[in-house]
Amino acid sequence: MMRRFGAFHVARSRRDRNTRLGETWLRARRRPAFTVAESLVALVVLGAAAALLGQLLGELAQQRRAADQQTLALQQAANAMEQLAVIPYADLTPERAATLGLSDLARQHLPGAQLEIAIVPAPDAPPAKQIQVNLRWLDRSGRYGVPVQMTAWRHQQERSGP
Amino acid sequence: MKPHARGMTLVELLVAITVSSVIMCGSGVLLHGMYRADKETRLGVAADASLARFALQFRRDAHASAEVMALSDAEGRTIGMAFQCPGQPAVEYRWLGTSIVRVTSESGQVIHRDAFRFRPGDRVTWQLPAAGSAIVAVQISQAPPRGTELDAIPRQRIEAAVGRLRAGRVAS
Repeated sequence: MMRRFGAFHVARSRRDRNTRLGETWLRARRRPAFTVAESLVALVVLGAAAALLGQLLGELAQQRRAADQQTLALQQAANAMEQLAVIPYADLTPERAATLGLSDLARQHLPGAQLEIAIVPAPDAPPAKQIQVNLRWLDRSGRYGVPVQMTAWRHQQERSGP
Repeated sequence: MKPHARGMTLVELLVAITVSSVIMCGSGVLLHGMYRADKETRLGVAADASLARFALQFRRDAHASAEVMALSDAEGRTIGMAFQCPGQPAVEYRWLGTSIVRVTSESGQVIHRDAFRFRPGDRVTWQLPAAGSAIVAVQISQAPPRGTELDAIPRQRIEAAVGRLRAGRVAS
């Protein structure tokens, strides 16, 4: 029988050893078994597959969170628009808009959220103001992603009274 | 003489069983995770679409209304709100445990019904305008994880300006 150095036999029964006690056990006739290298390869392949699947699940959860944040941000921007809608036309200035803060909800769910409201006169007749609401927040990589942006116009002559 | 054919030892068998059961457990957990993720995504997409539809309709009704009233149950809890405007059908929103139902009625006669279904376990609270404000709000909260003592976690908030299309009231 060939001597196989470096090939450790994983499965060697007790009987194997006991019956060949007198002999040089390296010389002993052995039945084929898995080598360490083989079992390691199998383990590595299995581990890689499991890690890949785990990563996939993690990625899915992250995507879901991102989608939730996007939905929330969209509604938060729309809420800011609603708050601006109840400010009379004459008072609608960047200074007044700056007093609108982020809601607790946005602060909780959108890391590093920043709400920017720009109010600029629009060259319209009758006079109008362009309102732009911009909400951005830090994404998973710690950078500001694509912001949620909303634009609306307010005209001086609005329908009055019922 | 034919040599005695050797089988597997008990240890080998046990090792093989252990390894395969670990693998099977692992794949079972992963499969379950995939299944759950898929289900949550499907429900989430439906709920988000429903929420967007609700937000649009709710804001539109608030803008068109002249006044808003709370709807209460027998114990005085606010379970919804009603938008009213003279000469227009009245619109009522009610939370019915799994969905918000919008009912339009004209002189006591229901003319339209609409439902907005949210995620399972969601809760809805209604906030009427504070004094001097014309903003109504609907807050949607997620039920806390089962077995915990936490409060419901606010998930989404929709605000609307009552009477936005009626400038005379807004300016006051």
